[in-house]
Amino acid sequence: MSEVILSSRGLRKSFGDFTAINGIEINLRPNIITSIIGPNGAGKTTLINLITGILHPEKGRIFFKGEDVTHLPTDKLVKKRITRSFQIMNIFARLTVFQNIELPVLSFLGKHRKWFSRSDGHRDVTREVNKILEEVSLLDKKDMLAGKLSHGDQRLLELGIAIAPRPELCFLDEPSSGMNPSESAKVLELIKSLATMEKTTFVIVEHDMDIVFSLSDWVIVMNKGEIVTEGEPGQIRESKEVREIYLGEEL
Amino acid sequence: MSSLKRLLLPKRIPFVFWVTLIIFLFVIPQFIGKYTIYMVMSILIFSLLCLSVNLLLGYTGLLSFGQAGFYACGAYGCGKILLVFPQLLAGIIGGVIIAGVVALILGYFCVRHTTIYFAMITLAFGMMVWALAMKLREMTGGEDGLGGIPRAILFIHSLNMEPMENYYYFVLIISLTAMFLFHRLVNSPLGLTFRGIRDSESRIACTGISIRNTRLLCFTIAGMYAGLAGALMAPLETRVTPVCAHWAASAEPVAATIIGGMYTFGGPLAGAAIFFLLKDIIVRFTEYWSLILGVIVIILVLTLRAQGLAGVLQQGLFSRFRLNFEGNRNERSDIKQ
Repeated sequence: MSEVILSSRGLRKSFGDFTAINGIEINLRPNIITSIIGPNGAGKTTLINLITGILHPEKGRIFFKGEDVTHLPTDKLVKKRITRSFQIMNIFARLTVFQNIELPVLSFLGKHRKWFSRSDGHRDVTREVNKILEEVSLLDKKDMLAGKLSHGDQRLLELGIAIAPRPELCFLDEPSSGMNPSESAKVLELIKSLATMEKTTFVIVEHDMDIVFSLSDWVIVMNKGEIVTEGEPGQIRESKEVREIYLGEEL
Repeated sequence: MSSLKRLLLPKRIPFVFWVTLIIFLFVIPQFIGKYTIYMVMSILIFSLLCLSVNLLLGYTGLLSFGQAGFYACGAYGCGKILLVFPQLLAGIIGGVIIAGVVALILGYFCVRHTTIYFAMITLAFGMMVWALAMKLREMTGGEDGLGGIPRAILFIHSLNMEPMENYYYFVLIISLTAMFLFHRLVNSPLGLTFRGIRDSESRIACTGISIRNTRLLCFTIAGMYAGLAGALMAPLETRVTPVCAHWAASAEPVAATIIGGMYTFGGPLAGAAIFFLLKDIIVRFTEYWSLILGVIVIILVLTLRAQGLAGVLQQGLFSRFRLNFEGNRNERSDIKQ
């Protein structure tokens, strides 16, 4: 594995007596879609929370493009173009769809501290927001309140917020949860096209194995806070070890 | 379409309303007595305090029970300056700066906390200012307060602020300018950032915005607005007493803001007028005014709920206007939530 965009060394995190992450060493390759799978409680979301600065590790280091980013807060990590979406819906419900995308774009362009001009008065911001809304197929709903969108559209909006700062590395925590098959297909198509067109590295936590195997270039399997194995989707599908972890669940 | 009809288009109604109100406020001293002028000034000053509360509560989601503390900092600061250096503008600017610096220092410690912890810290701060105002007798005049504050000249000797009418125009211009700047602020990218923090802290951090720094900025601006209100009040009353820093003085703008509508620009202004007038009327009839006022506030808050008066008007009357004028109902309303 020659090129690595993000790596971790001996990452550890406990909640009381429960060790959620136990000495994880991860190497994420750039410009591919990596999926992290594992049963409930395997530590997938905790790992993302540690990498994106929501939680801080007790031990271990995290390196982004060779730079130590272990204890950087989330907003500083976004400036380094590491973004994420959440497992539980996390949007600005009382703002319009346009404003939901406008906030990360303003931040990305360094205009979020401007206090005298109107928020919708910046042409470059408007152009960029409209472009992102078009990418996530929400341009026709840009004046609606985000809280009034359907669940599927809210998921698309969350994806839009995550990609708005034009990230190099984007973590998506169950991006298709609660969606119907057609909505899921739309999200997957979007992730694929962004990975190809924008050269974004995506890391996806997903329970739906059909999505994992159809979307991913690389799969990491976690169990009890540790990485059990990793490999190409075909290898993982055939792995006896993985089948044992998912005993009773069809891969 | 005739120009009158164009003027009455729904989207122009707020503009027409504000322009009419401003003209009304400029001409009204010609027709009313000194006490009514004093009342209008008090409402304008109280409105600034309500805006300060609303910047934190309605726009950023922070409930502060300490705004009276900054109000008192502005009032005592302005009072002290005017007693030493009788230049009105210097007193006002000094009061605002003092309140802003205190807000910056307190904010550094308290903006990392939210909800009840933030409310408790700000409440404790307000009571600390009250206690200091009571105990530092040599500096603040203790329980008697700081008396004899002059309504000093405005740089030029010909602009004498001693007559009530002159000071009214000064307060009106300063208040309207502050309100205009507030309107620009809440509709700017920074205002949008405040609203983003209110809706989801974890999400705003994931857009690359520092929650702590932005909250600190918001808290300092809110402190300066409260300080401005206090600084304008000191020359009006010619006296500042510790009562203005008491926790009850912090609760009043919170109640007025909720009654008026905390997610809107105009709501706190309407709430300030309603609350102030209610209080002024009830006080005349009974010594149990606080009991009656409390019952009325409870009824108003329960009836109007989170939307407040401005929200109800916007949703009801205004949408009906839209139906009549345009024949379609716009479903977008920020205050429906």
